[in-house]
Amino acid sequence: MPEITYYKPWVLFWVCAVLAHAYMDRSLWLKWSSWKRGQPQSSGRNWTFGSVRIWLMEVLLQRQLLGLSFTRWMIHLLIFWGFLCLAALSLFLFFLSIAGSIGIAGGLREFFLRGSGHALAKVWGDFFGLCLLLGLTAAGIRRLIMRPHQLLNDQGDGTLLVFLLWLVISGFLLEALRLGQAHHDMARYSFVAYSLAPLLAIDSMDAGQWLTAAWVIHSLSGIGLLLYLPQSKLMHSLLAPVVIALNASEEQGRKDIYWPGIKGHRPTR
Amino acid sequence: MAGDKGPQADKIAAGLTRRQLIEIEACSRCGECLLWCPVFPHDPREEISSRGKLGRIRKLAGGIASPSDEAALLDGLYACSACGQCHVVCPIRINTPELWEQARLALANSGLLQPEAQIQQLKTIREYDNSYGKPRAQRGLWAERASRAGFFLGPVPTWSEQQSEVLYFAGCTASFDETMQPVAVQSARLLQEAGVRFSILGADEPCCASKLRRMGDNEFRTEASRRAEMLAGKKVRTIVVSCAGCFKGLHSDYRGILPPSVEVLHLTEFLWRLIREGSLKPRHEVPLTVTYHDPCHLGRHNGIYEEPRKVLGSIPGLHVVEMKRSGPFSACCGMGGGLKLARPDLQKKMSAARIREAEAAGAEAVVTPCQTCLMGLSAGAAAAASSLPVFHLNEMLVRSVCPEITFDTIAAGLKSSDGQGGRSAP
Repeated sequence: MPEITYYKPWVLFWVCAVLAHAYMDRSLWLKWSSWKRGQPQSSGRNWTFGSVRIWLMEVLLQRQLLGLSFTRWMIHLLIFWGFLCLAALSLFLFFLSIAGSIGIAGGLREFFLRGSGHALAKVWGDFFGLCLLLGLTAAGIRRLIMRPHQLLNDQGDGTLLVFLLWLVISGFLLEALRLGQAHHDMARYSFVAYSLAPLLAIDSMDAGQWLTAAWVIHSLSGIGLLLYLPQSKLMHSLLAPVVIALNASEEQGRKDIYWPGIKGHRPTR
Repeated sequence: MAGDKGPQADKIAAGLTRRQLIEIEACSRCGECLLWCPVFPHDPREEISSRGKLGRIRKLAGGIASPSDEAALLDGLYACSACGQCHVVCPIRINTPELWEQARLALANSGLLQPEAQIQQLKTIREYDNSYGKPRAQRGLWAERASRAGFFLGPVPTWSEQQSEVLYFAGCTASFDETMQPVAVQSARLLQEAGVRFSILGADEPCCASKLRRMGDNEFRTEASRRAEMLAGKKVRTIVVSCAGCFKGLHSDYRGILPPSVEVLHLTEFLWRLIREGSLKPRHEVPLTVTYHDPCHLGRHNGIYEEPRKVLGSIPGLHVVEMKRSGPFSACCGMGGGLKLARPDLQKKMSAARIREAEAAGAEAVVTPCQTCLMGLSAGAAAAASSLPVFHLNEMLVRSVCPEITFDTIAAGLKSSDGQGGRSAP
């Protein structure tokens, strides 16, 4: 499989990544310190096998939201799973690359970066990228066009939506630019970027600069997310799973779980 | 770093639990709470919604609140019946009723006090040990007067007269409010009909003090401990409570205070147990189509939805239809959480809305097992210009078991007796 080579300013990337991570860690630590001003409270329930079921049904599958609205559940799941699986892929490839460079990856590195595992990574990345894109687009339509009564539309909501959209679109554009320059069999597995590639056909003489620019933009946007996370309502993506799991687990303890009853009720307005 | 948000912010944060502080930050601001909130339709401002309150508590605890945020939070926090509907529908399941009560306490400790009417009510409870501002000696008069009027099968003994394992706890409203005293009388009579050996505390019955908790009074735990010690000292096995508010107090707020060996049951739970065992037998037909209103303190807060419905289901001829919102989704009548004191206008509108829902269900009457909801819904029916009658659940059972002591008969009987009483709205 032919490699596409273009300049990647790794030093700039790592400096920015380390600084952004440090900033995020500090912000999260400040938040933790701020929460520690409160009184300690036990969860009131020991972790059991039932807790696994709660994580699956309430956190990963969000059945409470499904009971309230199928549309919102679908939008949320597209964003949640899209984001989660893309993040997992990035982390996996990052650690695989490190493991490979210190010689402990065995054949895994070759399999995923150059072998047939590469196709899986490509399909995975494009599929969940597409999920994220669809989810964010639907959320944007709901927020800006449908404007349901209960939604607040302040600056923070719009900024976060645009930011996440930008992140996923810039990722697809980078991949499309790359595939436009390398015509190999694996390309079709990046099915979204592969379809976009002909639209972004550029002179191969300028391709390196364009690819570098696209790489810098996408990477720095990703790093920007680290800076933005503690200041935005994205915090709920870290905290909500814990809160849902704790509260749902106690509610089952109280035999006060309301699924599937919730499906039979709607607000009387 | 942790204490750098300013003294007031630190005090508010210290008044909440760590988990609550995290819950506040976990809110995704989806607004589901606002759709279901029974108050919001009658006062559609953001600060009324849970989302609005959570955002402002976050600002206050974070030391970045403006004076207008403070005012909006106090407004929203006390224009709330803490019914818990937002908790039920919250996709993150934030435990809002607990949070509102804890926030009220934390704010009061930081100098942001309750509305004046609530402050007066708290003062009355602390001073008189009841929410009516009446002498304690009058607390057991309902039983004496009902006994004289012949409403009981035999004497209703006080605990000092008969040390029994079952204690009937009437609560302030059914003890002091003469329009609600029939609830206590019917409760005691139904226990007698089932052959239960029970006693009451009479003049020694304390206020459960749960209103202190509802309205954020610092003294709640001390007062609750004192009462729990007294109750535990009596070696009572089961406390049967007919008031949903007192039930939440003794059953839930006293958790960890009252010894676990003391079983606290709501009257409907106990009655269903008696019916199931065959000691209480609904015999006479009650040909009526009713709808059941779930009190928040009983339903959402304690998961008691089935027993009252089973009691109603055991009455021959009685047909129960459900309202559009029932069970965990039952719309609050507005009588809880001190809302009636802080915003009586809202409470009336909420009760009226609930009455209209009951009418839409095709019911001939509304039935509820809580005297406070009964008072609220009755006022709501008047506000909605509805002729729909509102009954306590006891009334349905009494009509089937001992129809000679209907609510109206008792009310008239007690009025004509020589006792004191009289209503002074809390």
